[in-house]
Amino acid sequence: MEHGLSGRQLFVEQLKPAAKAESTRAEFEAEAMPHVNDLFRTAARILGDGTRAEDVVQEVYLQAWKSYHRFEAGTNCRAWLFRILFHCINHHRRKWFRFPLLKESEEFLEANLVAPPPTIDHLTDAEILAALDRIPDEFRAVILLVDVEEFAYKDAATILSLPLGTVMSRISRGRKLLRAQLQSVAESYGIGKKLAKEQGL
Amino acid sequence: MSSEPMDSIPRDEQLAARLRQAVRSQQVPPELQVKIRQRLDAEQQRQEQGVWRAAVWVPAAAALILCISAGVAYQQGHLRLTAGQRESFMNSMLVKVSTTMRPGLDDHLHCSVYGRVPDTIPPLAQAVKDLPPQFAEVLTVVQQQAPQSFQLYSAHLCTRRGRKFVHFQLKSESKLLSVIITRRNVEESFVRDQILPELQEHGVALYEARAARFQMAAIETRDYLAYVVSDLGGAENRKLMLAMAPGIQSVLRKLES
Repeated sequence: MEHGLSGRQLFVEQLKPAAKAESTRAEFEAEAMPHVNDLFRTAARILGDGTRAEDVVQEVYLQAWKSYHRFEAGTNCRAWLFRILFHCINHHRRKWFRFPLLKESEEFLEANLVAPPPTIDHLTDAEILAALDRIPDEFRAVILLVDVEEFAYKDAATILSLPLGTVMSRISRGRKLLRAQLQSVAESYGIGKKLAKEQGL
Repeated sequence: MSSEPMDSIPRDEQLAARLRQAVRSQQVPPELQVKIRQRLDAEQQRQEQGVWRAAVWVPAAAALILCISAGVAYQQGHLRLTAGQRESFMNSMLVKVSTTMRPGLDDHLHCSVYGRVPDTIPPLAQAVKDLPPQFAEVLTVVQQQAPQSFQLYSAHLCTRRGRKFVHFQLKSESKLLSVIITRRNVEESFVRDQILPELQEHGVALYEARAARFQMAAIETRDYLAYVVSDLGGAENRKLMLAMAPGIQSVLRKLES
């Protein structure tokens, strides 16, 4: 008799609740677990604390699991997880501490910055990360999403619940601030000056 | 998801690549995935326990509510399926009122509460076909004074415990109303029982009683007792009896003379 269902559909419908839960859990892990490292690193850079980042990432997975029934298969799981991540970070931020907004001096700095490309090849990972950590949180978040995690602006805007224009302006200002930070680190080692000298400048 | 049209700001690829390299050089705690799985396990277990608890408690609570509701309904005289259970309920109601009130309440319980109440109101001619003609004037009084929401579905002569009653039965959507007239036995008298009337108006002495949800108002003449028994409130039931009393008294006095 033709019942119009494929063998797989029949199999899924006939699964017992416990088995169905196990199968959903396996699907969830297969979709979500590959992104755990990216989530942790972003959380650590935003929060500046590995232990808190661990807690937040665990919370992200718990929240994601609880609302997994609303997740549409085939859509961008990674973006969905990052969105939950920033939701959790905002929640914890309110609990733990208040992030300073962009200070006037920083605004002045980035507005007047002529950003020569720093010689970043001579800097260590730790120095680059330290420079990243020194730029205000709202810019750092956008740089992490767009430049590090390679999300499209549109996705970054969705993840951060911001208008697209705000994301674009923040990425531009954030990159300038980062270059300035890197330049000052480089100069403190005399790298920029040395390079300029070599170039006869 | 393509980002090309939006990514119009030139990216410093060298800087971005170096940044990616630096960020990805961070060590991720190797036990993080295990911790996540443990929290998911705990959550899954909690959910399953919740489902199990609900599976046990929801039917148990429903059963308890059902039992309590059935108990309350039984106490109010519903769910009395056998004649014995009904008699037991009727007796339990009768002992709550005075001897002179009992015949009216007994007939209302037997004939209206446990009798057949039609779903649709029959035509008047059919409803009154068993009414003794000498009480036809009472029918007019009942029809004129009964609340608009009540409709007469039967007016008849009935017998209960060897005693005859003229019974006018009315019903609204959820309530029953009886106007009952019976010959007074010698020993039955509110006056003789030294029961004080609830009020005396235009020469009508009105007596009242209540047994559970049944409200009664009664008058007596030389040879008759007349009752209004209903599920209405005390004030409404009294008002109804006061409105009907002159007409009923007039008919009964004619019969007595």
